[in-house]
Amino acid sequence: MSEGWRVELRGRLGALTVDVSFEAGGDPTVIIGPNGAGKTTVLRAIAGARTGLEGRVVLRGRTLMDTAAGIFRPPEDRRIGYVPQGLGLFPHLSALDNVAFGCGRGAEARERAREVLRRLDIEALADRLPHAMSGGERQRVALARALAIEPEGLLLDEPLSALDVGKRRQTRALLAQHLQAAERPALVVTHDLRDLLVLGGEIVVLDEGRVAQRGSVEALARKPATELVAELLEPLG
Amino acid sequence: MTGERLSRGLRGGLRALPVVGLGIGLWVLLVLPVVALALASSPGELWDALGHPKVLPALGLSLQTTALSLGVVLVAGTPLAWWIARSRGSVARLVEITVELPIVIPPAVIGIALLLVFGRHGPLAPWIGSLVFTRWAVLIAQVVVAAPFYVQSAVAGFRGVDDDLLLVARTLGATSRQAFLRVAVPVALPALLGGAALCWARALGEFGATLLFAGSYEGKTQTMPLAIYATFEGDLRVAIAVALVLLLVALLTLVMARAGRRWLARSAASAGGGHGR
Repeated sequence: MSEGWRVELRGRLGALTVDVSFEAGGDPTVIIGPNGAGKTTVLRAIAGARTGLEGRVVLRGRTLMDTAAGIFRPPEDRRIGYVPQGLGLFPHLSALDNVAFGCGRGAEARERAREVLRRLDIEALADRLPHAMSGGERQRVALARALAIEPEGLLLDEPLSALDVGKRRQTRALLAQHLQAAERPALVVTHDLRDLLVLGGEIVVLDEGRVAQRGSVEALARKPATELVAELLEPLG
Repeated sequence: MTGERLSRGLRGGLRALPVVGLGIGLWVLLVLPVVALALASSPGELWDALGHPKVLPALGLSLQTTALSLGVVLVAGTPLAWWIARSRGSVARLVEITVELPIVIPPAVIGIALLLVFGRHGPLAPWIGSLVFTRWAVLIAQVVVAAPFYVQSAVAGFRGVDDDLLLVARTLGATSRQAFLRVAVPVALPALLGGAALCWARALGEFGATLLFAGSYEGKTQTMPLAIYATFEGDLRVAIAVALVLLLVALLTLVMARAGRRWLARSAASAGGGHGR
C-alpha cells in the first residue's frame, strides 16, 4: 500500500500500553475508539511529536520514523497536515496569516494563502482573528492551513468536536467533500459514529492501545471482532 | 414583607460593617502615603529639586542600570522560563523553586551574600577581582532581586501555550526555534510584558542589596533610592522631590503595563479563542 499510511507504534504511556499497527489507503481512514484508547497520542506521534512511542511510520513510501533504524524526521520534515483537537489556530494571527504560516515568508506566501482560502470558499474570513470566528469557520480555516502546505497526508483529530449539533452535520459533509477533493490519505480520529458514515473509508477501531478491528463499516457491523466493536457500531443498526 | 426584608438586609449590612471597614482601612493605608507624597511638593519645588547636584546623576544611573538589568533578565530569563515551563523532571521543579528564592530573602541578606560571592575573597576573585562598590555591583544586585518576578510570570505565560499550537507550527515547517519565536512568544506576550514591567519596577526600587554590595557613591553607584536616603539626612524637601520623581516613573510603568495588556487583549492574544475546547 505505497499510496497510504503504514503505522506501527508501541510503548508505554503511563498506565496505557500502546501496540498499534495498521495500514491505511488513499481514502480517508477513520480511527474510532473510547476515551483513553490512545487515539490522540498515536496521531501526535505520526505528526512528529516526541511521545515516547517507538516503531515505524511510512507515508506514501517515505519513512517518517523508524526507531529501530534510528530514523526520526522532525515534524517540519514530514509534510503532514495536522489539525489537532481544538484546531490549534494561532490566536494572534488572522485567518490569512494562519494559513500563510506554512507557505514561507512575504507577499508570495500571503498570495498563496489567499488562493487556498478562495478554494475553500472562506476568503471573506481573511482578516478575521480566530476568536472572532464561529466554530465552523475556525474549522475550515484550520483545514485550509493544513492543506496550504500541500501535505503528503492529513491528520485530523476530532475535527468536528467543537461544533454544535446543527453545524456539525453541515460541516461534516463539507469536510468529506474537501477530503475527497484533496486526494490525500487522511487519518481522522473521531468518537462520533455519524462521522464514519460520511467520511469513511476504512475504519480502525482502537481499544486500550491496541487495534481491536480494521475494515469497512459493513464488514465491522456484520462481524464485530470484539464486544466493544459491536457496541460502537450498534447505533448504526 | 418588604420592610422585613429591608431590615434583614440592614442587619446583614451592619454585621458586614467591621469587615468592610477593615478592607477600606487597608486600602487607605496603601493609597494615603502616595497621595501625601504627591501633595508634598509644588511643581516649582520639584523643578528646583531636579537641579540638586545629587538628583540628575542618580536618575541617569538608575535609568541606565535598570535598562541594562532588564535587558539581562529578558535575554537570559526567557529561555530559562521556557525550559522550566516545558520540562517535567524534578530538576526543573528544583530550579523553579530556587529561582524564586530572592523574592522571599530580605534584600539586605542578598547584599551580604553578594559580597561573599563577588568580594575580594570570593570564589570568583582570582578571575574578575572584586566587584564590590562598582557599577557592576549595582547591576548584579538589580538582576538578582528583580529577575524572579520576570521568570515567574514568563513561566506561567509559557505554561499557557498549548502543546498542540507548537506541534502544528512544526508540521507547518517551523523549526523548534521558529515555533518558539513565532508562536510561543506572541501567545505568552501579555505575561512576558507584565513580568518585565514588575521586574523593572523592582530593579528601579532596589535599595538594600545595592547599599550593602555597591555602596552609595555619587555618580557611580548612587541610584535614585539611595539618593533619597542620602538627601533625606540633609534636606527633606529634596528627598521628597526625588521620591516624587521615582513615584511618577512607577505610576507611568503601571499605566503603560495596563494599557499594553489591554491593547494586547484587544488584538486577541488573550481572548482564548481558536484553541480552546
